[in-house]
This record gives sequence, C-alpha cells and structure tokens, in this order.
Amino acid sequence: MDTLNAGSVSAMLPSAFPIVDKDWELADTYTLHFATDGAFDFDPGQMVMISQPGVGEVPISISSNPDVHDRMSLTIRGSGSVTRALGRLDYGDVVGIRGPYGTPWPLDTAIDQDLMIIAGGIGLAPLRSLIYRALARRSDFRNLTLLYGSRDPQSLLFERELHEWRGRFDMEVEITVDRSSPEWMGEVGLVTSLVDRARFSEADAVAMVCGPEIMMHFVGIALTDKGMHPDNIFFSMERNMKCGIGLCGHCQLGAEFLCKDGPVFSLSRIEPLMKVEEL
Amino acid sequence: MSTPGSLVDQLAATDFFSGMAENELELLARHAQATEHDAGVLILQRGRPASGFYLITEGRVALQLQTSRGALVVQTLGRGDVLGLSWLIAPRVWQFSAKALTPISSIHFETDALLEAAEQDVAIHDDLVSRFLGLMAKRLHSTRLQLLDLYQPAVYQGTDEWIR
Ligand SMILES: Cc1cc2nc3c(=O)[nH]c(=O)nc-3n(C[C@H](O)[C@H](O)[C@H](O)COP(=O)(O)OP(=O)(O)OC[C@H]3O[C@@H](n4cnc5c(N)ncnc54)[C@H](O)[C@@H]3O)c2cc1C
Ligand code: FES
Repeated sequence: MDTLNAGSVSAMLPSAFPIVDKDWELADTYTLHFATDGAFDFDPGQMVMISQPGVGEVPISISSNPDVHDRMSLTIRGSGSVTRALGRLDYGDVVGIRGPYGTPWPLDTAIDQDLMIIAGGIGLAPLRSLIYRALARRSDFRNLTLLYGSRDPQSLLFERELHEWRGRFDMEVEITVDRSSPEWMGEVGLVTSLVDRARFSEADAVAMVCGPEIMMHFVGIALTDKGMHPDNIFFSMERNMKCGIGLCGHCQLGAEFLCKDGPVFSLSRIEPLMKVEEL
Repeated sequence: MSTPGSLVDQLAATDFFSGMAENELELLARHAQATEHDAGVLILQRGRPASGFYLITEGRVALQLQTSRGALVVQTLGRGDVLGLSWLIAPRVWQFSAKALTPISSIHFETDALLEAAEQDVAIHDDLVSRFLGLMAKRLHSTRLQLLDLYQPAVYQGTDEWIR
C-alpha cells in the first residue's frame, strides 16, 4: 500500500495517496485518514493542499496527532464543490496531497504560561493536533484550558475526545452552544462568555484561537478586555488559497501571504488586516 | 455570613463592580445578602414581579423559556455573572425563568430599596444604571451574534447532491 512520504511530496506536485479510513464526524463533516511511512512530520497548525483530479484542490489543516507518525488525518466540512466531492470518496480512493505548509502554532511561547485554546465550529479540527501536542508536553504549561463554541449540541465535533479531555484532571474543558435543545445540559451562549468566566492569569497567558473570522475577532476583543496583550493571542487565518506556497498571490492580505507567512498570526500582526473584507 | 466590610471588598473584586466608588459599594452592600439555592430550584419565575438581582459567586444558572418543545435554555450564566435585569425596566416583571443547574451561591440585591436610596445621589444612580445598560448592551450584542449562525458555512450555490 502507498504511504505518504515527505520526500515525495514536493512543493507544487501532489503525490497520490489512497484513503485508508474515513469517519463521519457530523452530517456534513468527515475525517479522511492516510497512512504515512513515519517520515511525514508536521507541526500543529500546518495544512496540506488536497486535490481530486478534475475537481480541484483545497487547503485543509491537519487534525491528527503530530506525534503519531504512521497516520495523518484531515477533518473536512463539505462546504463547496471540492470539499463535497472529497466527501463522496471512501476507503481505497486516491487523492493528491502536497505539503505540509504554513506556520505552526507557536507553542513554545506558552512555556510556563496558562495556555488557552479557543475553538469555534470546524475550528476545533486544526486545534485538535495542537491539543494532542500540548498534552504530550503538559508539564511545559501552567493551566491548560479548551473553550469550544458550537452552533448546537448536534454540531459538536470530536465528542469522544471532548469526553476524554473533560475527564482529565490536568485540563479544563468548557463547551457552549448558540442554540440549545431540551436534552442539552451544558452552557448556552457565545464562546466569548466562556472567555469572560475562564480562570487565567492575563499577564501570563497565551491564547490560540481558530474559528470563523468574526468569532475570532470577538474572542480577541474579549481577551484583550480581560487584559491580555495582542502579542500573546494567535489566530489561524483560513481565507482562500491557491498555490499554498507564496507564489500566486491569491491569499495576499496587505503585505502578508496567508499561506507562507501564516496561517497562524498573532493578533497584533493581523488585526489591521482583518478589517479587509475580501481578498 | 459576610460582614458589610468584607462584602464591599468582595464586590470590588468582581468585573461587574470593579472601579466603583466606595460609597456606592457600601450602599450596595447594605441592600445585599448572601444566598444559596439547591440545584433544580427556579430562582426567577417568568411573569413574576422583578425586584432584585443576583451576583453569582458559584454555580451555573439557565435562563429559560417554556415552549411546546419543553424548557429551552437561551443562555447560561455562571461565576461572576449578574442574574436579573428586568427590575430596571417597566413593567418590572421577569422575562425569563432562571433555573439553578448546580447548587448556587450568590449575592442577592434588593432593588426597590436600593433604587430609592440611589435616587438620593445622582452620581450613584447614574453609575448603577450605566453599568446595567452596558451589561444589557453586551447581552444584546451576544444574542445578535448567536442569531447570525456564525459557525454555518457560506450557502453553497452548486446543484450536486449532498452528501451521505
Ligand atoms: C489554511 C486553511 C486551513 C483550512 N483548514 C480546513 C479544515 O481543516 N477543514 C475544513 O473543512 N476546511 C478548512 N479550510 C477551508 C477549506 O479550504 C474551504 O472550505 C475550501 O477551500 C472550500 O472549497 P470548496 O471548493 O469545497 O468550496 P467552494 O465551492 O470554493 O466554496 C463554497 C463556499 O465556501 C466559501 N469558502 C471557500 N473557501 C473558504 C474558506 N477558506 N473559508 C471559509 N469559506 C470558504 C466560498 O466563499 C463559498 O461560498 C481551510 C482553509 C485554509 C485557508
Ligand atoms: S495561496 Fe498562492 S500565494 Fe498564498
């Protein structure tokens, strides 16, 4: 069976890889798993370009555990033509993959600090690999907190992992939904309300945030209102991309190429550019 | 039971009351009382007269409405949150019911007497009202964002069948 080999994944040329497993996470969201030969190294926050010949290519962040070297997984929401076409594939079907690309979450900046991981909707996917890595390096950080906002209880991603993380004594997990159902016993309200209530030391905390841009914008405001410095708040900017390696200019936002200089940026660096509505 | 002095310190340390003048904190403390509720208890009942508010110090409360689908929670509140805004606005009846999801510790403020006393001092009255207006604006803002359905993807224009 073919495996994903870093050496064979060159800059613009995708390599062909078969899907070795597929999980449906939600009605419109699935995870594709690929075997790797142990040489595919990535850091949390990085993405790959995944393509289906004749359909198109899209950037997707890697959602699997970066310290498990024989597997790589992508969690994808079927939001348009390519991501829906990929969702129709199954075990044994072949896709093209190139990467990994982009800047990772700067986990070292959180050493000896409180680490806040804040996700909205599908934004938990790119953060899952970060959570695995943070747990592997747990003693490097003080409090580790995951705040996760979702549309409704039915749209919660990775319920098995959420349950497992909630059961840990060394990690705080708070989940909120925008719309409740009669069975839901958890929090209801915007993810920013979890920020308001979270226990962390503003001066010694680092936040890593991923979700819709408007959600990240308001989380940024909630965190800075609490006294955090914008240098210590990081966002993953997931706007449209084409080449993924800084060649085509498709993702350019001001002076930044989101694919090459990002997708992870500090709030202080990206805030002026977030006001630009479209690329 | 807190003494008024320690209550003033306790209030001053919360986000909602932070930066408040000492004399206003003392006035609030005079109309405040520590309270406890068991899990499952209805703390506020929709339609009943509203004559107080709570500062939650521990536990979780659900603001809810009874609907044909059962009790639907519109918002949950927790440590540091203020529960109860309807006392400030006519007709001064609770617009939602509030149910304790866990055992609740809170500080209850009796607002009829508090408002009467605050009306004697314009600065205190204005500060109190403006803090509550700020809180209402924040809740309204959050509700609008919740209604925007932020986590849904953009509407897909294609015609292909989706998905499972
Ligand atoms: C760095 C990066 C990492 C990403 N990681 C993930 C991930 O882990 N999982 C995942 O499901 N998606 C992820 N995305 C988003 C994903 O790339 C897009 O959903 C995809 O490109 C849409 O392509 P499509 O052909 O399916 O949809 P299209 O037919 O191109 O578009 C369908 C609709 O989605 C909108 N859209 C297109 N691209 C984006 C985007 N980047 N963000 C928001 N809306 C978009 C379009 O405006 C359109 O309305 C990531 C994007 C980037 C830039
Ligand atoms: S996607 Fe081509 S330059 Fe970034």
